Amino acid sequence: MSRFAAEFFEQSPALLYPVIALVLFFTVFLVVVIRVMRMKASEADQYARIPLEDELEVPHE
Amino acid sequence: MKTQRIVYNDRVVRQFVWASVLFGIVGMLVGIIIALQLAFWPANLPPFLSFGRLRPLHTNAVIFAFVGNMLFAGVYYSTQRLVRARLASDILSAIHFWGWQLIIVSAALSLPLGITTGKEYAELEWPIDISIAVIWVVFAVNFFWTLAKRREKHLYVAIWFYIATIITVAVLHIVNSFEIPVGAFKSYSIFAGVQDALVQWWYGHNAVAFFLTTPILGIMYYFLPKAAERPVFSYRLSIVHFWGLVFLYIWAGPHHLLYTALPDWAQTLGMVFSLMLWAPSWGGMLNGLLTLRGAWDKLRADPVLKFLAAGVTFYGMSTFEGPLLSIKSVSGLAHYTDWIIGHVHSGGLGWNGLMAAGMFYWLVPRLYGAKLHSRAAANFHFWIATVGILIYVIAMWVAGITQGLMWRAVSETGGLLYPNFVETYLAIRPMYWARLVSGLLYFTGILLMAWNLIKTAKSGAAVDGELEVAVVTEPRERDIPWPKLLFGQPVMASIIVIALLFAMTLFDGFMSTLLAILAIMWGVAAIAIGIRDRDDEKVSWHRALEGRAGVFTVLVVIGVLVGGVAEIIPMVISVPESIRTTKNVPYTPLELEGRDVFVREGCYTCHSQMIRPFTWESARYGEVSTIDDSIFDHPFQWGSRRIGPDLARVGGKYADVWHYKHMIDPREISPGSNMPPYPHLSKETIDFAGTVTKLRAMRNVGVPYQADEIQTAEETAQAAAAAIASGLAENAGVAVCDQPTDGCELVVNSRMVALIAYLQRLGRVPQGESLATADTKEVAR
Repeated sequence: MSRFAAEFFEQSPALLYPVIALVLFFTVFLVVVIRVMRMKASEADQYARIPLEDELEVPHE
Repeated sequence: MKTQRIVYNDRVVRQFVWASVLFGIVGMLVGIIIALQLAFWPANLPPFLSFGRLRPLHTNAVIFAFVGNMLFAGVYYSTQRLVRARLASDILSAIHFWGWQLIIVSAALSLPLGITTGKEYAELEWPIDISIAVIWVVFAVNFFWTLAKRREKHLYVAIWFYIATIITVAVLHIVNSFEIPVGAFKSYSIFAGVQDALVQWWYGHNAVAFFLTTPILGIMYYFLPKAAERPVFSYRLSIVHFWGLVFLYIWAGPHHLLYTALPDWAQTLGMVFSLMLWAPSWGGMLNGLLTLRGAWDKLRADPVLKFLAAGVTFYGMSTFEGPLLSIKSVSGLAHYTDWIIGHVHSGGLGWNGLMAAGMFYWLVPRLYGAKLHSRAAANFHFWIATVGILIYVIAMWVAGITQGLMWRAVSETGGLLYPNFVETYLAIRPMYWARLVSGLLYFTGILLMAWNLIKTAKSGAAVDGELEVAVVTEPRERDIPWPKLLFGQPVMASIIVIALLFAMTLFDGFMSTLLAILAIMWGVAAIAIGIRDRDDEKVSWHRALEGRAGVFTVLVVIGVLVGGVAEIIPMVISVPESIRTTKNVPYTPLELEGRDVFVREGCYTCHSQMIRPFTWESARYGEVSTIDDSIFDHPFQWGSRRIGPDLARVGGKYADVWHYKHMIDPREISPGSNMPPYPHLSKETIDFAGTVTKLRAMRNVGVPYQADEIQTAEETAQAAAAAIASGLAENAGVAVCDQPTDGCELVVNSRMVALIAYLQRLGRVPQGESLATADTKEVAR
C-alpha cells in the first residue's frame, strides 16, 4: 500500500467506504454529463414539451 | 384509432391543497408565538406551551404539514398529467390523505405534551414514526403503480425528482428512527452520541434536501413551464441538475457538525460536498429563471409567475448561503447563532412558501373551473410576503453576526469581553422584535391567500381534469431487458475505472502511476466508444433508462445510499470499540430520569452541549467536548442553537440551589434572561418504579449497566433524590415534602430534582467507580 494511503487508512480501515463512494459518485456523474451533452437537441426539446401537452384545458377564465 | 377519456383524480389534489393552507396558517401562527416568546418571556404562559415544547411543533407543522400537504398536491396533480394516467388507486389516495392528517393531528397533540424523541425535525415518538413509514409506503405504492399504468413512455424530469424524494425520505426516516421503545410514548435512539449526531444530521440535512427541495424542484419543472406557457429552458441542464443534487446532497449532512467532536474527515467531507452543491443548485435556479426568457413582461400582471420567479430566486439565494455557511471558518462564527435561523427562513418562507403560494394561485382556479377571485389581493400578498422575508432575513443576519462576534470577543489580555451570556441576548433583542413584525407581515399574506382561494373555490365548482387518449391494444414492449440496463456499458465502464483507481492506492511508485494512466485511458476509451456508437440505431443507455421507472429507482437508491452508508458505517463500527475503552460511566438512575426531563422540556432547542475547540468557547464554557463525553447519550443532545449558554460542562459550576432558584425564576438569578420559568417541575413527580425499564432499555442499546444497578434502580434514584432535596432544604431553606398534595415548595420525587441531578453531572465523570454505587454507599453510611 502506498505511504499516502497507509497514513490515511491508519485512522480507520472503514474509511475505504467513503473513498469508494466518492470515486463511484464522480464516475457516474461524469458519465451522466457526457451522455447529456451528447443528447440530440430535437430529442431534448420533445421531452421538454411534455408538461405543455398534457391535458384538454378546462375552460376557467 | 379508438380513443378513451381519462378523468384525473383531482379530488385528492383539492384535499391536499386545503390541508396545506390550513396547516400553513397553524404552523406559522405557532412560529409567531415562539418569536414573541424569545423577545418577551412572559409569553411562555402555560408550561405545555413554553418555547421548548412549541418550537418542535412549529418546525414539524411547517415542514410536514404545510409543505408536506403542498408537495403531495403538486406531485399528484402533475404526475397524473405527465404520465397521462389517473392515480392508480382512489382508496390508496384517500388512505394517504387521511392518514397523513391523522399523523399531523397526533403530532400537534403529542409535542406540546412533551412527548418527544429529542432529535430535531424527528421529534415524533415511535408509534407516530411507524405510522409515517406506513403512510409513506402507501404514497409510494400509489405513485409507482400510477407510473406502471402510464401512457407516456418517457418519464419527464419532474417525475425523477419525485422518485428521488419518495425513496430517500423513506430511507432517511427509517434509519433515523431506529429506537427502542420504553413505553407507549417514550423511546431511546439506538445510536449513541457521535453516531446519533451523524445519523441525525444526515437525516436533518436531507429532510431539507429531499422533503423541502427535490419535490418542490419537480413542482417547479412542471408548474413554471405551465404558468409561463413555454418549455423549460434546458432539458439537458435539468438532467445534470437532478443527478448532481441526488449525489451531492446526501453527503453534506456533517456541515451541521463542524468543529464538534465528529471526526475531522467527516467534517471535511461534509464541507467539500456542501461547496460542490452550489453548482447544481444554481444550475437549477438558472434553468428555472431562464424558462421565463421572453416572458418576463407577464410577471407584471400575473401573480402566479411573480411568486414562482421570486421563489426560485430565493432558492438560489439560500443555496448560495448554505455552502457559504458550510465553510469551516464561516461556521465557526455562524453556528449556534440566529444567522442559521435566517438562512432556514430564506429557504422556508422564500422558496417553499412562495412556491406553494404560486402553485395554489395557479391550481385552485383550475381545480374549481373559476377565475382567481382577486388578482390585486394576490399581488398584495406577494409584496407583503417578500418584504416580510427580507426583514426577517436581515434581522437574523444582524442578530446572528452580532451574537457570533460578541461570543468570541476577547480583550488584549485574553479575557472574554462579554462574559455574561445575557448581554449577547439583550444586544439582539430588538432584532427579535423586528423578526416578529416580519413574521406578522408574512402571516397576513397567508391569511389573505386563504381568503382569496376560498372565494375562488366558492365562485366555481369542483372539476376534475380530463384527457382524450388513444387506446393501446398491444402490450407495451420492453425493448431492453433490465439486467442489460443495470449492467449497461456506462455502469460497467465506471466499475472498471473505480477498480483501477482503487488498485492504484494499494501500490507505491511506478505501479500506482501505471494504474492511474490505465484508469484514465479506459475512461477515455469508453467515452470514445460511446461517441462512435452515437449514430447507431440502438437506443442510448440513459434514454432507455428514462423510460424505465423501476431500474431508474434502483439506480437512485444506489446513488443516495452510497453517500449515507459511506459516512455512517465508519462511525457505527468505531463506537462499540470506544465504549470498551471509555473513561466515562453511564448516568445514574436519577440522572437518567433528569435527562428525560431535559429532552421532554425541549431544553436542546436553546442549549447546546458541545464546546467547540476555540479559546473563547473554552474560556466561557470549559474544556473542549470530546466523543467520550456523549458516548452514553441516547439520543445525543449536542443541540444546534444557543439562545442560552452551552451546558456541556455545567455540572458542578453552580450549587444545586442556584439551579433550583434559576428554574423557579430565571430572572432572579440572571437578570434580563428570556428563559421560560419552570416552577411546575418542582411539583410534577416521577414514578421511580419505571426507572428500571429505562435502564434495561439503555442496556439493550449498548449502555453497560450492571444487573444489580438495574435491579436497585428504584431505590438508588429515590435515595439520590432525597439527598438533593434535603441539601436544598438545609442550605436554602426550601420547604420539601414527599407528595405534591402536602403543599410544600419542592417534592422529593419531582422532575426538578431529577433535572438538577442531570445538570450537575454534565461534563463531570465520577472517578473510580460509577455514581450509582457511590450513591448507594452514601445511603448505607
